[in-house]
Amino acid sequence: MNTIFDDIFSSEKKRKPAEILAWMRTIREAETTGVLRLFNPPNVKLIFHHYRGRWSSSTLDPDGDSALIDLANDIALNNDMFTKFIQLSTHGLVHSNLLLRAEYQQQENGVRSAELPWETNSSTERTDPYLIKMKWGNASGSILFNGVSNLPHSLYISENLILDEPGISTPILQRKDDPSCVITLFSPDPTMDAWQELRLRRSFKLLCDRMLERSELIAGRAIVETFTQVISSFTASEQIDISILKRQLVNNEFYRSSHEAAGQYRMVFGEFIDHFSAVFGSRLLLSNLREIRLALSSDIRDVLTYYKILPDEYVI
Amino acid sequence: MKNEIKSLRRSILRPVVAGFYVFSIVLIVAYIYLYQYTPLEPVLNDVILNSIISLGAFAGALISTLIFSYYQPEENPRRIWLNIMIASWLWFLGELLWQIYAYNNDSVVPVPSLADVCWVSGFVFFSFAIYHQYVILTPGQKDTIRTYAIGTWLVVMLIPAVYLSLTDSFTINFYVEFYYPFADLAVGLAGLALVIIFQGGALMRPWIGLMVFGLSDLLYAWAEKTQLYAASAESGNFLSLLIDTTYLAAYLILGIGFLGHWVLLRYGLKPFQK
Repeated sequence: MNTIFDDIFSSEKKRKPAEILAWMRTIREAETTGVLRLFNPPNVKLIFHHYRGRWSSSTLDPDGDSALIDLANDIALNNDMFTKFIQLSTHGLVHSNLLLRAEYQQQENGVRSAELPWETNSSTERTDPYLIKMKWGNASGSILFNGVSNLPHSLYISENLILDEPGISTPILQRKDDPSCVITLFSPDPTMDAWQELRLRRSFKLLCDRMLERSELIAGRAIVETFTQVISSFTASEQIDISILKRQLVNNEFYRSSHEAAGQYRMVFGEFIDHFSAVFGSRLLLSNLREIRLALSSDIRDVLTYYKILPDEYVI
Repeated sequence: MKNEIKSLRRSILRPVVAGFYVFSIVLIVAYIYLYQYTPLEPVLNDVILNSIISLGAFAGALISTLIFSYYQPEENPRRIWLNIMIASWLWFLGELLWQIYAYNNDSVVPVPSLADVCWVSGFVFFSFAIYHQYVILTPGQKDTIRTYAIGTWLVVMLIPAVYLSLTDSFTINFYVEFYYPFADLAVGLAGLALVIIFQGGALMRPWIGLMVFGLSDLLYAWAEKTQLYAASAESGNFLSLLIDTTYLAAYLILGIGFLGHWVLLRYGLKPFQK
């Protein structure tokens, strides 16, 4: 299985185990977010996701446990490894995690560039998220289309350039029609937790954004501003990197699983409900939340219901 | 409900709110004392009594203006508060004019007068405010709300006219006197409905004030119309004191309701202590 992190560039050197361990310690201490790739062809290829220095997940080769044992052995046997650390944003990490899991667990569907929409903004009408991976001889790229009203996100990795940004990166747009470009499409797979986590992330954001929008219509900006302050103060006290910016939810958290995400969303949403209820009253909040929920598309409603983000009384 | 109690407790702890409560209690105590014992020369006593009422109305008008200034032109609640502000200033102006009439005519105020023009116009603007509040809550029902608003106004204006015509007693004086109880009832009920909609939330505070005002003014208008008020005032009865004090209290409760909303805009919510 080839991942977008597999290329070993000419500038890369094999590193000694002691060096690798020191590097891992630095990542942890500096609370860095990104992807660490350890490669000792043909036996060991491991990719670790670090979220703020914590080892959050790793791609598991078909036999994950043995891969970890191989890694431990390699370090013990003093085998040098090609080591690369790519610092990423939280969105980059979510994207990368999804891509790596899709690469390992899903069937790859080859497509041609002309078959794909290349909107660089949120105008696409497609509601489902999807992922495309691109491979050139000396570079790799990926775009995560988040669906309506969300910007896509790009990753582009070449020897001299690493891009992790919202929208579609310029090199990807410039090179998408290269004859050497191999494009693979991944559609959501309900059996894959990483896809579920992404759907839940989008659904929760949509729910909160709609609530904030409705609140502003009823009570005005000043009151929504007070919600922003109390919610942000709550999330800060709980060390949750979720905030509200310009009446939109900004989620900079990375989750190991959709259920971990759901637990945190329920806690944040409980805080939303407490404060909204203090301003609008429980009766109006109830009717508004029911209306907002019904106005969401059925797939989003289903995700919110499945993960019990809304308390039962709002799900009628 | 628990949240609302916490929120109320928090807002009372604000010095500005505590100050307004003290101000209100002082006004009510002074009013009752001056009303019941007339310790000053009667004309001066009446001027002070009427000024206390005007001061109560002024407080509401001032706070509604402060609230209005918080909203930007494109914000929905600005339309509500523009109308509440205009209505509140009109009612304050009505009280002031009534006071001037009373001072110049030995406490006899003609009906209708410019004061009535202000009060009636005030009701119109409060109706606009209530209409906008309902439209914001249920934008899809705009036409229905407009129909109900116009219908209510027609009923409020027609009932006194029809009744007085049927009893051959129609004069503009009687019409205005009959109009007030119905207008008060309509505003009071619309306020009550909004209190129910916002039940337990901070946004119900201004409407509690309006509801109380409507119901207390209804009591006054009813006592006035049935001559109970005049009879009680002449005999120094407790009823007229109660009705007049309730009228003052209603202005102050309206002010407290507005103040609650201003505190929310000015200081925001505080995180709950868990």
